[in-house]
Amino acid sequence: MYTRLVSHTDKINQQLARYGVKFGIYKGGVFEERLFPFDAVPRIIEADRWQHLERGLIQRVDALNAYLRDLYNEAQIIRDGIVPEHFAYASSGYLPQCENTMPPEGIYSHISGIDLVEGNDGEWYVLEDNLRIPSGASYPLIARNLCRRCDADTFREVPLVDNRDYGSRLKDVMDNVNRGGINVVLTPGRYNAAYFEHSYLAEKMGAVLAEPSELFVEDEVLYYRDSTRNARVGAVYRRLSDEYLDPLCFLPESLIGVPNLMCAYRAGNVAIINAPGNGAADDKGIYYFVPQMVEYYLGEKPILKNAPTYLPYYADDLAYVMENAENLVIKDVAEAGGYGVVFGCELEPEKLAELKDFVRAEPRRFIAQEVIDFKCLPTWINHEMVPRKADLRAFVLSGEKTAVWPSGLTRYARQEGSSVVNSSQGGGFKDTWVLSR
Amino acid sequence: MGTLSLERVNRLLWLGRYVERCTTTLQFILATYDAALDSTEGNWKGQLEELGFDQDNDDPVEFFHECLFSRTLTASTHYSMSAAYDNAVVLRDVIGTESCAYVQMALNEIERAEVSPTPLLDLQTVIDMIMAFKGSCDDYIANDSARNIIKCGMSIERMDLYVRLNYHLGDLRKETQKLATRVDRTGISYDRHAFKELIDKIFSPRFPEEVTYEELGSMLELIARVF
Repeated sequence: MYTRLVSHTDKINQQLARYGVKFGIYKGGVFEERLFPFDAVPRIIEADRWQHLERGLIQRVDALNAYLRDLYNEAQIIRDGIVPEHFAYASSGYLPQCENTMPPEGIYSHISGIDLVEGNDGEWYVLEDNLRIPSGASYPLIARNLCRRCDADTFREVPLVDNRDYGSRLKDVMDNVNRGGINVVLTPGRYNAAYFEHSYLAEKMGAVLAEPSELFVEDEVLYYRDSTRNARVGAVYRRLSDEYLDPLCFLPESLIGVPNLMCAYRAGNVAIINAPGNGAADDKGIYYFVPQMVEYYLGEKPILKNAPTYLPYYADDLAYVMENAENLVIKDVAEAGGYGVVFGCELEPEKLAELKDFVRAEPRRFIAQEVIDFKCLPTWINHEMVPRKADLRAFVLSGEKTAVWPSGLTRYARQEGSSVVNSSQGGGFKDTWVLSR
Repeated sequence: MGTLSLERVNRLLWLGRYVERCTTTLQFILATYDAALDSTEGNWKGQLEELGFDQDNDDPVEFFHECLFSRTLTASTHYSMSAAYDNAVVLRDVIGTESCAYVQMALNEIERAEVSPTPLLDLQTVIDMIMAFKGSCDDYIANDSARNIIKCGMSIERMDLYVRLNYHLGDLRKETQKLATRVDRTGISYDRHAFKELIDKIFSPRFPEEVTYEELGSMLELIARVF
């Protein structure tokens, strides 16, 4: 199905270099831009399997949005004891500054990046929910265009759902909550790891790419500092973390924030995409409770499974983790990007004992998961087809309705046997093909 | 004019300036290098010394390598192209990915030429990419103001270099006319008095044949004041 396409792998990668498809990384305090290696062998998802996945993703994101609406307002789920109070409020992503603030249309997570793996048992398992500023959609988006140019016959023959409307889907999401004014993509600047994506998506959705110094708030209204007349901003797709967003509300030392942005947001004069405070729902510890949220808010059985997870915070789970640490993967809930993930089986006995001590001392800081035996995908590396572990980041967009972008970022591990797929750890990416029949 | 902050106006202008600086200095360096092939006696460095390159370096290969590929000297072609790229990449939503790609490729080609056995030959591709970028501005940049700001940046840089290097002075009138046609289409404010004074000097019957170094110096000051 993709044999011809694979023969063009090098050419496609050259084209990606031409378009500056890179990600940034700080190594030893120095910023470096790296090309993101692309493998032309796609992940292929058949139509019926996609429909199942799509239903599960919509259900999950709807539940997560309901949780955020509830948590920052009535907190009924806490009163009902579904999520322990301590657990919810001790999350580092929980922001008291967002309490009793309802974002436009009640949507907190407009763009959700849900990380999944496909188990060898054929089930999809959710590994992580990313509700803050999930990145990565631009890579399969641009790669699809280049692949179509390289091998038109394949795309003529294979019944694929087109994924190239991501920009207009994003625009619809922004327009849905826009409070009057232009749409802006707020980037911390050129030296951000995902800068390519910021600029590319701004172009694709016809929004203005702005750095913080180009925005200001006056009388609780956000403006873009135009050279002739200032333009009111109705929706801002921010690509910087909550804590840096507004130095008058969060970290006072932030030099990349927009002073008083939160005032404009609280006054209902601008939509922030995604809403501040979403970290309270994508905390690795809160992940444990997402299936319960689905049942609690939607009254439905969860369609997608979590990886079997243990919370050392609970005594029974702690005992299990202590007994079975060598068979588990232990994650620090405060870390991201593949950091803070330790496979017990890879540790020397002394290091494993040290890790157990850490877990005992700070049980809320860690979760433990069974190691999922997830599928390898065929991958073209050094001119041969080899199996590599791969995950999928699916993008769920919540506008008037919740919908899943029929594609996604498939990341694969470059090293044989490795499960670490993050770009910052040397991983590459694939396109994700959703078949239309 | 579309939505452009002062920061972006500035970046558009400098994108044009750096792209032009790369083109003109590259051509100037290659012409000087060619002349130096016949003799490395006397002033074989030409006016390159005035651009800030190492006056004490007597090794022609090292000297020209530095002029072309130095990462630290602000007059090198690599430095100029790299600065153009830094501006282009933050303007992707204005100039478009296609135009941005030509700037990216010009930079890639300079880096490829640096390690090539035939660097001077390969540098032609850099010029080709820059020319493609200039052409793509017309086709891909929908914002009239943005397009004209880039082109004004190119014109002002070319004028600056011609005067600074006392090079192609006869072409300054043509360049001034181009600038005069475009500047009011940018929608940005500029120093009209300085521009008028510059026009008077360039279109004086004495120019360029009888122009003095002092007059060239005052023209440089006027060029710096226009934007």
